[in-house]
Amino acid sequence: MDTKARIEQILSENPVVLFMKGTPNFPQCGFSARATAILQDLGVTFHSVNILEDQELREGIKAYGNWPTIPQLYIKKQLVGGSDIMMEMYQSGELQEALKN
Amino acid sequence: MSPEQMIERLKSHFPNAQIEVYDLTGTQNHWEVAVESSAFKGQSRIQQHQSVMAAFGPELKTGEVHALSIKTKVKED
Repeated sequence: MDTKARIEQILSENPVVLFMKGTPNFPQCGFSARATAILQDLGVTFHSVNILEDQELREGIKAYGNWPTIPQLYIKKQLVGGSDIMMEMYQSGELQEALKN
Repeated sequence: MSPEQMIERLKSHFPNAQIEVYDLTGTQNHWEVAVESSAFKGQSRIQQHQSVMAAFGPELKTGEVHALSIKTKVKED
């Protein structure tokens, strides 16, 4: 299965997906840690993908959504953005809205 | 990259924009950039961030720019 198909399968099987460095319990980068903390604070169940363990996905996801950095959040197969946008949306309440339905 | 190079690069992509660059860790590879440009008009937040990151495509790939925190604002002219 090629990378794009793998990504699309992950996105279709999980409404909320965070591509990150490390795991929610052991984030390996400050921005990934911040993104995880936001989702945990909202009590959202999310599927995390540790791109440090999957080089193919690490490069594939960057090309897939035309977003060259990690972490990246997807909600219902839509790219939401990196930790900056997540923080802005979290502070404005938009993220809570996007996660509601 | 040096702060001057960062500013130069952003200036070339966003002429007559207001640009601020901040070295987050003093290691010239963890940056925060703030860009206020009329080029963002009508763009979604994601598109604005994508266009700023596109300015550092090569450096983000090589890791010369390891982290790029972005703040964008539409400049009304």
